[in-house]
Amino acid sequence: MKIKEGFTLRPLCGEHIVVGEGLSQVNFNKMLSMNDSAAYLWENVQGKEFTLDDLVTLLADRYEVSADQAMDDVKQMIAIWQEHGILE
Amino acid sequence: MESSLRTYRVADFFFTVEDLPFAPDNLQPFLVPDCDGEKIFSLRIVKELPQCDCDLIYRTSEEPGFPVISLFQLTSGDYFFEVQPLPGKPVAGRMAVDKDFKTAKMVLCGTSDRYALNSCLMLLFTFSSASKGALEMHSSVVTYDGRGFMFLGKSGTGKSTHSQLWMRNFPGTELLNDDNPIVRLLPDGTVRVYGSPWSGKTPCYKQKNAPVGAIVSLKQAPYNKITKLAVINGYACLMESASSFRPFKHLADGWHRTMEGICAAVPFYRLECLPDDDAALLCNKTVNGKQNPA
Repeated sequence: MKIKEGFTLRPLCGEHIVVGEGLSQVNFNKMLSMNDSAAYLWENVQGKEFTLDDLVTLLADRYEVSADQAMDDVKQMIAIWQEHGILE
Repeated sequence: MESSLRTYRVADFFFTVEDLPFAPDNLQPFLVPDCDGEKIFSLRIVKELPQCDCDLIYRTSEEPGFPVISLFQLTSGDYFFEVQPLPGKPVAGRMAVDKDFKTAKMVLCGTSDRYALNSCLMLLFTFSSASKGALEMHSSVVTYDGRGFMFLGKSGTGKSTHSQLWMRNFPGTELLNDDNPIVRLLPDGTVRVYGSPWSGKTPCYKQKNAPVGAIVSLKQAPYNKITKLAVINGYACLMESASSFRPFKHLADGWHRTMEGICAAVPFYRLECLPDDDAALLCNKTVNGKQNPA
């Protein structure tokens, strides 16, 4: 999977948001709030093809979390990204 | 037609319009003798534009009651716009713009020349000031006690009505703009709101400005209630209300910096309200932090 063209992670006064920018996402009139770990994952996979396992590895590298817990978290996050049409 | 160059100052930015065949009332208060500051663009009215071989890259959705803007791009990277006042109406103006939005030429098609001119000026202003900390907002704004209070909301929410309620209840309140003021994040981090030549159906074209006291997002409700908004919700309100036609990704950094700076400097509120005096009293008391007149 891959993050679609036009979605950008932006810092906002100490928080993180994802917005749609430019012609490719001109009709995406929403804004997604991201926690620190989701923003960290986003930064590491933006513009690349990635798998669930890639995300789990990234999460386990950075945070003290079991592989099972990491997989659960990643699946939940990806479900949200998919729901909002951010992935292709 | 006599050649003529007019210089205008809007939100402390300068632009010029050349060979305009009429003198639009809404621009009159912004006319200045010289450009003694930053000139953001120049527009020339021409009789015709060469037919261009270019691709349609975007057209705004053709909703009843809303204007239609078509955007084309030439192989040189320059842009070409067509504006229609409503879906199905003839094209009222055509404009060719260089890729930095600095130099533009336009043709007035004779059907709705004032509409076409103002649409193109707004597009040019929005794009050429994007990296300079300016945002054109959809808002009704009043000044009260030396500060500007901006009311946001979808069309038909009652922004203008709420401004009228402030004017009726609080002596000294003045309408600064009823539809499209300009907001600027200044280098010192302060935020000011400026009157503009574009004010929807209300002829309120003022060369005035004020520091922003608060931004209030309005929502119709069968009661009056006001809530302070977190930064992230304030940002969402700005996104919704900033000029909606923003197809250029390379301008997004500038818009984001401006909106983030506004969120950091200005308090945001949501007002769920009726169109009544109590709504204005509650809003004024809360955002102003002062007692109301009895």
